[in-house]
This record gives sequence, C-alpha cells and structure tokens, in this order.
Amino acid sequence: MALRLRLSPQTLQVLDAFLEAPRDWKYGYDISRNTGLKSGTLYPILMRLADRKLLETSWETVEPGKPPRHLYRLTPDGLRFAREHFTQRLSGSRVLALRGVKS
Amino acid sequence: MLREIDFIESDWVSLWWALGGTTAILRHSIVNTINSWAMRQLDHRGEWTPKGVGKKAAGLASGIVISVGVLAFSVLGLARLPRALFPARNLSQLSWLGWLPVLVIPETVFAIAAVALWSKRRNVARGILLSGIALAVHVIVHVTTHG
Repeated sequence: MALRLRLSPQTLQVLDAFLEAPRDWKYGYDISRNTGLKSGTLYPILMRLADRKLLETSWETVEPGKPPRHLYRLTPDGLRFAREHFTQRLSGSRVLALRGVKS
Repeated sequence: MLREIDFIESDWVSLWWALGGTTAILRHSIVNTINSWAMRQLDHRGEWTPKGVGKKAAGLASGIVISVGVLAFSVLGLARLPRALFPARNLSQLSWLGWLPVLVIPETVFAIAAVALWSKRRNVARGILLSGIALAVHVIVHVTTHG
C-alpha cells in the first residue's frame, strides 16, 4: 500500500463494522450506530480509508430535489486489508489467551 | 455527512451529529490548507525553502506589539481621563464607562488599523486582528466566569 494508515482502535472498529457485510453499501449514520463512534471521529476515518482506496464511495439519490446520501463499501484491497488485520488481531488474542492459560 | 441528519430520529442527536460533521470538515480543510502551503514552500528539488516566513513573523509580531501598546495606553491613560475631565461628577455609577477604555476603544482602534493596513501591511494587520480577537475572547471568558 502506497500510503501509510494509522490503525487506531476506532479505525479497526470501522473496518470490523464493514467486515460484518463486506459487499453491502453502508451509510455513515449506520456505521456510527454500529460502532458507537461520533461523526467527528467517524468521518475523518472514512475519508482516510477512502483516500487510501480501501473504501469506495457512492452517492444515493433518495428523492429528486434533495441532496444525495453518501454510501461506503470496502474495495477488494480494503476487504483484504480488513481481513488481514482481523486475522492478526484474532491470532494475537489467541496467543495472549494461551499464555494466560499456561501461566 | 450532513445529509444524514434527515435520517436521525432525535433533534439532539442530529445537532451533535451536525457539530461533529462540521468539526470533521473544518479539520480536514485546515489540514489540506497546511499541506498545500507546505508544498508551495518546496523548491523544484523538493527541498524545504520557507518563503519570507521570517518577514511574515516579524510583521505579525509588530502588529501584536502595536496592539499591546494601544491597549496599555487605553487602559492606563484613557481610563483616568473622564475623572480628570469631570472631577465633580460621580462617574463610578456609570458601569458601562469602564468598558470604554478596556474594550470598546481598543477594539475600534484595532478594527480601523487592520482595515487601513490590510492592503499594504497585511501581516501587521493580521497581528492586530489576532490581538483584537484575543482581547474579545478574554473579555467573553471573563464576563461568563465572573458575571
């Protein structure tokens, strides 16, 4: 990946929210409700992920005369990236759990 | 992001959503402005060559110094003037009179000076404006905390 991405716990939360249904388009407010993140935290993350081509964006026109609504979805690169990090965290937590059992 | 407000049930949640969204937009545009400014400071070899940063800083600093001077003169000098001019009158009853030398006169001078200097000495004008804003914020904080 060309651009470096800071993987904060909030960014991982957003990626996890997308992983629940990776092929579906999601609204910002729905992601906010799923993750509990406020708009001031969520949108910079979504913008960063979109800048790095991990998310694709689209505009949904609900009614004529009203401004369109923004939609987000993982790109194939984004899906790979999110899965890799999810697996890494999962294996990391298993290692920690095993160490806990042994000690 | 602000389009989402139409789909949020509660007014308060919508308000917080809008505030958060506005903050995110503001932060994003500030970062972009700083980045584009920094890119303009790079020469054709990609090396950092700040153009006139020292001159700008000096202009800004002189604007702040001028403002502090005006404020000090106004507070220390003009505050005593009404009592010196009208010693017989009981001016302490006029509470608004106290705001004249500490806020109204300096802010008026700052605004006039900033407008007058904007085209020729923009950085000095910016320094004066900055001081004016700092004074106004200070007064607002003082009034809200002390009543």
